[in-house]
Amino acid sequence: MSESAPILRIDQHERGLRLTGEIDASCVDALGARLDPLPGTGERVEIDLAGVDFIDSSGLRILIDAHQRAERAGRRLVIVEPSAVARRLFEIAGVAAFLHLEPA
Amino acid sequence: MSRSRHAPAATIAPERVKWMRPSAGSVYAPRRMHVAPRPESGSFSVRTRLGVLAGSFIAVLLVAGAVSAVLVDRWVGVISERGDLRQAATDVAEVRLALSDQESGVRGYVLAGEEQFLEPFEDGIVRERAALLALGNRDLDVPGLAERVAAVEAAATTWRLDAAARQIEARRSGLAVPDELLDDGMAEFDAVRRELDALELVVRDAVGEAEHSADRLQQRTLGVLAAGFVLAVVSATAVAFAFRRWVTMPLAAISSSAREIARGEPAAMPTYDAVELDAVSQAVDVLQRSLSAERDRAVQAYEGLEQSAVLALHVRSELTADEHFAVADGWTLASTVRSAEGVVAGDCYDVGLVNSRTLYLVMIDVTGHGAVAALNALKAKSLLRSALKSGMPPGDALGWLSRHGAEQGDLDYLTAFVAAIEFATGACRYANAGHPPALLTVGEDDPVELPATGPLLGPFPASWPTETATLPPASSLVIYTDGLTEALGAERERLGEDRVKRVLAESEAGDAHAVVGELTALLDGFRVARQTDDVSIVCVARDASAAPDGAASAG
Repeated sequence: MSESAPILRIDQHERGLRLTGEIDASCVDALGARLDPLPGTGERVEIDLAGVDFIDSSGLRILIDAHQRAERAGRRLVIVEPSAVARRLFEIAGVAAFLHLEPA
Repeated sequence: MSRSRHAPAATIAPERVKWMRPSAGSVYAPRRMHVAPRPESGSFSVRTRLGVLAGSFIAVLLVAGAVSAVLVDRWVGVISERGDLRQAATDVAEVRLALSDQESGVRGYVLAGEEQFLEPFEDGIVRERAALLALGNRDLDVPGLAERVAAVEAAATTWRLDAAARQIEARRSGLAVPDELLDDGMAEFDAVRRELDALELVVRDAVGEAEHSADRLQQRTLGVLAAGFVLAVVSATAVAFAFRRWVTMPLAAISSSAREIARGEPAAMPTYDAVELDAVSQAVDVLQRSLSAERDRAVQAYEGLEQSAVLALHVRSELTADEHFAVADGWTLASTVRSAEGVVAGDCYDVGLVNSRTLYLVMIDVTGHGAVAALNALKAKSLLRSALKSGMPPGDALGWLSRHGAEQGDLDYLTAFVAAIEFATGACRYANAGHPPALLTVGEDDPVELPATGPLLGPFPASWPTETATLPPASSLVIYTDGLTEALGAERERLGEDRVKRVLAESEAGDAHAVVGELTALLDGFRVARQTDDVSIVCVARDASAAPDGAASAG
């Protein structure tokens, strides 16, 4: 990835967002803005992390905040196909059991 | 393992940044001065205006030059014609002289009867003809001139044939010339004189007319040249005036405003009809707003720094452990903290004694940055320390902190690793709230992870079971924050857990200082990017000499 290219690409689709690249402190504000308010109108909000090469604690915090907002709104934020690095972070942080991961 | 406590760059002298401060009541929102309502259409650029002016100037000069050239040409023509006419007048005088000589010659011959008196007569005829020929060849545009010349010629010929020839013939025959013949000759020569007078009058009138015309043209030409000069001076003055009004003065006004802005005073930027000037004025205005915004931000940043710097420095020093205690023989402790650049991050650790036989160890990483995050970390550290010192198991301490935070509503998301280690046995009780796994290395084995026993603290109500592990002789326990494994390398790759584990497998497990040194070397050799997160590493190690069940003492 070149230095000038944006490190995180955010694509919105009808059910939620697809994230590709790296999620770190430099792009969490942009990601946070796309997750607040939550995308879509359905009960289910999908965040596709299949293409995420890196995610740090600031990215995790944004996802947890979105998860909490969805819960309070009676919606369900589902993390679809988390990449190995994303799944590893959820396990390290002990939150895999609290978030809705698909596949579980 | 004491961290340097001298205060780094905290002493920004307030007077050095005072220029950034807005004076009381000053208006920081600059405005544009509406000198004249800006017309949406019909406004011309300075380039167009000056182009039109310069074009007019050049056109005026060209017209004046052309008129002058025509007049000069005509003047030269008239001067030349006048010269020709003056020559014609000379010719007429020569004709008169030649005829007079002829008449004198005839009269002398009649009186004296000597042939030599006829020489002026003969010579006069030749000169008269030459002069008349010259006059005819002058190609003069004088009305009636040819008729007058012809009349002179005719009268002269008549005089010569009717009077002169007959008088000469009579004298040659020896007879006295009759008076009638002499009277007729005088009368005919008078006729010749009259014709000559008429011719001379025509030529003199023409010369006078030409001189008058030349004078008139001279005056006109000089007048046009003078008018052209005056017009050029007036046009140049108008161009200079317009340039001053349209370019120099507005630029002076803009540069004056720019100097005001440079002095830190808000300046009202004027508007202009001319698009270039308005663009410059607008650009300076945009620059001013941008400078103003930057200045406001700098002032805010300064004030924020002023309010938080001392606190933040205090917090930074408090974030690390209070290390004035001694561990038992055979045990070593080492740590390092690499602070992120420019921020007070949320790493914090504490190592201390629960009692003389037990060591406690706390590592906290708050997800946010800045003084607030650091204060939260400090508060969490303080609560966990109290819980551990009261004998609470690590997992219970985390649960207590979580409940306390939930009640207070001020607990930021944080990860924490908490351990209590018995010196005598190496028994280690630990709980991990979503923190990167601690790494337990025994001898030359690969490190073993002590993973999360519950989620990170903050978002979820949970419990954190206390797990157990053992540090046998020649072993080490390393706890770090994610700033270590997430450090960026030259190819934008992360340092990662595997490199950390390889270094631990190869280092001397029983020496905490050696282990921390190896990990620091790994980090320094790997990282190329700016450090954006704190890196904290704490290692507790038990050397090979310590008896597995030997009595330990701490002082």
